[in-house]
Order: sequence, then C-alpha cells, then structure tokens
Amino acid sequence: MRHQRGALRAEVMRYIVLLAFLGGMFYPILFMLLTTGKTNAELSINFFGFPRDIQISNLTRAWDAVVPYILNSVLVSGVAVAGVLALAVLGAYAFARFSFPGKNMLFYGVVALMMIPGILTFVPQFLIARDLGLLNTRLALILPYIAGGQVGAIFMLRIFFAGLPQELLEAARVDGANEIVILFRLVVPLSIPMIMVIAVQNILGTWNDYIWPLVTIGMNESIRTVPIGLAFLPTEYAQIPYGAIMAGYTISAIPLAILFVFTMRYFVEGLSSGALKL
Amino acid sequence: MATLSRPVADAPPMPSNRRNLLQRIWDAKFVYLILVPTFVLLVIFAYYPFVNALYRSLYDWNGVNVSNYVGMENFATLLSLKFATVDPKTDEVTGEPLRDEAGNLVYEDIRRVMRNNEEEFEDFKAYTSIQIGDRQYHLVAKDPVFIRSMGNMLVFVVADVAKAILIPILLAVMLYHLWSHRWRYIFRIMLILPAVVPGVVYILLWRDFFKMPSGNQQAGLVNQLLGLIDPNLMHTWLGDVNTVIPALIFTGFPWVNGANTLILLAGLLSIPGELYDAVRMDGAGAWTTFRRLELPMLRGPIRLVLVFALIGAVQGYTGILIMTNGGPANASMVPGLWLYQNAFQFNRYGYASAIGVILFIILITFTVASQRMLRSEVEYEG
Repeated sequence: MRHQRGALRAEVMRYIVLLAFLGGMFYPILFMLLTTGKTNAELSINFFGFPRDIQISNLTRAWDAVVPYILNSVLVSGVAVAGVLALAVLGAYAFARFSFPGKNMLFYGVVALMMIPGILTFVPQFLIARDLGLLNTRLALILPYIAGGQVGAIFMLRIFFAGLPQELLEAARVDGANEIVILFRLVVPLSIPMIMVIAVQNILGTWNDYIWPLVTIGMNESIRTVPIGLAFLPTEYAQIPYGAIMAGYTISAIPLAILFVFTMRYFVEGLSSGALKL
Repeated sequence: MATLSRPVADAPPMPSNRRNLLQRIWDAKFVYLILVPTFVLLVIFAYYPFVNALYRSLYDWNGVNVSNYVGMENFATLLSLKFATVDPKTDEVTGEPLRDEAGNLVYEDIRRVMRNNEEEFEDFKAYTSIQIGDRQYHLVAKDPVFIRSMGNMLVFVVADVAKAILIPILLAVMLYHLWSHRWRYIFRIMLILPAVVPGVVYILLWRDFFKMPSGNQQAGLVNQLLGLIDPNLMHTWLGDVNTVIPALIFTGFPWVNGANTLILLAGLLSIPGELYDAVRMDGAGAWTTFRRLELPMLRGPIRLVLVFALIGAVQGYTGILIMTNGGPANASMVPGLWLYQNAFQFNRYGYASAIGVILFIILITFTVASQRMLRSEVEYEG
C-alpha cells in the first residue's frame, strides 16, 4: 500500500514536470496569440493577460502583408521537394538495382557530400548563383535546395529500396513488367512512408531557411519567403501596432499547421530521425 | 560502407573478358542518363563550390576583379596570436615606478608598445589583457574579432550541447515511465507541435523579449517580469558586452527540444524489458535505474544528439545574426557570422573562404573522431 502511494506520487510528479516544461515551451506561442488581439494601448496596461477587446483588424492587416510571403514559400518549398523526390527516387533506384561501371565511385561521390558542411560552400555557392544570373529569382533557391536535398534522400532511399522484398520485384519482372513499371507501380508505393519522411524533412528545412534566401533574394521583395519576409516586417510601434506583427507571425504558422494535421506521423518521424548531414 | 552494396538481381551474367568496359558502359546508358540531372546539379552547387572554397582560401579576392594569390596568408592572419607583457613605467633617473595622481602604476598603451616594436607586432591589434602583480599580460592578434568569435563558439558549443541533452533526457525519462501510453502519445505530439511555427519567429520573439522600454515601445517579456520584482533589474541584455552572451544562451528557456526528446525516448523504448525486470529485482530506485541502466543504454542516441548539436553550434549563426548581428562591439561574434560579414559586408571573399576552411577542418575532425569512437564501441560490444 505504502509502495503504491509512492509510485502514485512519482507519477503525479512526472505530469507536473512535463506540464511545466511544455508550458514554458508553449509560452512564446501563447504570448504571440494573445498579443495578436491587442492594441498598443492595451498592451501597455495588459501585457500578460487575455485581450479584453480582440482586434480582428490586426489579423486582416497582417494577412495582406504575410500571404504573399507564404505563397512564395509554398512555391519554392513545393517545387524543391518535388525535384528532390524525383531525382532521389530515380537516383536511388539506379544505385540500388543496377550494376554499371563506376557505380560505387559515383555513389560515394554523392554520400561523401554529407561530410561537407554548408558553411564551407556557402560563399562559393552564392558567387556561382550570382554568375549564373540567378540572384533575385526563385531559381536561386530552388536549384541549390534540390542539389543539396537529394544527397541525403538518395542515401536513405537506396538503403530502403535495397531492403524491399526482392522476390516481389523478381516476380514482376518474370511477368514481363519493365523497370519503369516496377519502379512506379511497385517500389514507390511500397516506399511511401520513407518518401513522406524525406519530404517532410526537406519541406521543414527549406521553409525555415533564413540566411541563403537573405543573401540571394533578399533584395527582391516580391519573391521573399516567409522567414525573411517576417524578419523585415517593420517593428517600430509608431508605424504598426505590435499586435499586427504578432498576427503576421501567427498567420505564418498556418501552412505547416495544415501539413502537420495531414502528415502527423511523418512529421514526428521526420523530426526525430535525422539523417546525419554536416 | 561496403555493406551498402548488395548482390544485384539483374547483374550481367559474369562480365567476361570479351565484353569490354565500353560495351558495359553502352549497355548501361539509360542508367547514366537517369543520373545526369543529379550530377549536373551536384557539380554546380556542391563539387565546384567545395573545390572553389579550398582554392579561394589562398587568395585575396573581392569576388569580382581583384584576385591575388597570397598562399597561407589568410590563415596566418586568422590564427595569429601573440603574448606581450608590459611593465609599469619607471622614472628614467631613479628607476622608481611612476604613479599617477591617484597613486596607480602607469603603463604604456599596448597599441604604442606594438607600434614601437613594429618588426614583431606589425598588423597586430589588442585583443585582451590581464594584470598579474604589477605586470600586464596582453594577448594580441591580427584578427582579434576572429579570436573572440572562436572563444564565443566554444562557449556556445558547451551551452548548446548541454541544452540539447540535459532537458531532453529528463523529459524522455518522464515520458517513458508514464503509466498512460495515451498521454505519452499526446505529449509526443505536443513536443513536435511548435515546429509548425517558422523558426525565425522564435528568434524574433526572443529578440523582443529582451527589449527595454523606449518611446512608446513596451519593455519585452524578460524585462517586464524583472520589472515586477524590481525596476532596477531591467537591463539592455543584448546591448551590453557583459550580458549579451548569457542572454543569448538563456534564449529559448526552458530549452525544450522536442526532436531530441523523441530521439532519446525511442532509445529508452528499445531497452529490453528483461533488463528492467532484472534491475527492479535488485530493488533499484528510479535514480539507480537511471544511472545503471537507462543512461548506459542511451549512449548511442545521446551521441547522435550531441553530434547534431555540436555541428549546429560550430557553423550556425542565424539566431545571432538576427538578434545582435555579432554586437555590441563584436562581443557576440561567432565564426560563421564573421565569415558572412567578411563576404557580404567587406567583400573579402578569399578571407571568408579561409574561415570556412578552418570550420570545415574542425567539423571533419570531430566527425571522423566520433565515428571512430562509435565503431570501436560496436566492435567491443560485438
């Protein structure tokens, strides 16, 4: 009996610890949401509390400013992730299924890139984007995102493809299916969980990227992505209610919130199973 | 790596000597065709930049027309560090130490000392100094900002690694022992939920949290809370050379890292139940169970999380770029940001490349070392 009471106390302690830390973790988000509803005047007398007179105007005002950034980000991240998946599925299949001269050398040439840190190639990448005339165009983001994203994706998918039941693929081949059919009718459907994890990882990476878009497209306001768009929102209280800024931050979370609802499992998996990339 | 290649089902039946290499290449032409887009992109955005970074680190290069080969000079400048001692001034006649009106010893300014001794200290600038006894010990460097940035990097590496491991371990153990698996699942989802907000938003929020009231602008959250205790505690945390580093480390409190927590939780969930039974049979309490069973079994995931955190801390600078831009007076400079500023503010692309090469060497050394460690451990356990 006494033992049980001790165990119960430990269980209650666990909930207290977890809720305390989660509370601290969510507080900035809560603050953002609460302040979204406040005027500057209300913020000065009611900093912490619930807004007494919710300001919808903050949201409508921020909506017009932030939605273009969201559309830009959706376009860039969407095209980039599609490119990564297309190249990685084909590349990984080539490496996993076929034997050809130079195969190992080429494959190591890809995976060795995981050892090269972004900080080293950052400056030359910028200069090559400049010399190719890509600066201030969306291609300055999309092409390097595909180039970088496919590396880890090829690595992970090759392992996954090699682990698929080979008898199944063999049976299809005996039935006269060609490699294209086998890849898209059999291999890809069987690999959807892995492909989704890679997709979510890539979307999160490009969606949150700050420094590369800042230097390559920061000057072109019409194609700014969400992170730099938000960072350049005017922050002077005199010009704009602080609540409108917070409303902008809040609105910027909508796309990934939607993605989260539909791909919760892959979202969790993608974040908690990182492929090692320098 | 050899384990990755496996016997391929449709490999050509014994590549005989008669079927020469060209023939085999021709047979595989469609496979090569498939790989063309991948390698075109890699050549442009990975291989070429990599080679270019190494090569350009040997140049004084403005990215456009000025390009002079300087050998190792960029590295020599970055890594130059010298000691200089300065003794108190003495009266030329009596040899007695000179004192100012307040009775303090008088020292020559270090900049003048270096100017007077130009052969040894050409291009050197003061970095930091301490006084031991009557003697001043100065550390001087050709690029004191880089030296400072490396020191800051070390501090951030230690802080970030601690943040990445300690709180997530605590939370993972709490989650693991929850009786209700349903609640464990709910907590797992909640830990990932903050990832839907763009990362830059947290940085911008925390920058505001440290603000002081000015004009019609409110004090930020941190100063609001401190103001409730005592208005004198309010401070320009990010604008003071003495508080900027602690403030940056405090950012993100209470440092819940959902992804790392889940990685560690997955490690705990893979511990065989018999081991728990055995420990429980010995009558071990929660702390003993943690130290004897859970912590040793978590070594792999902990190392994974540690490597991620370290790589991020060595090369990351987004947060510092937004919150302080390395200021005030370069007090919060880190190497990545110094690289960024040299490239994009001073047009010193060769010098910036050299900083990148130094960080690359640090990271590759660490990665190889950690993989050695991992491998030797696997062999030991096997």
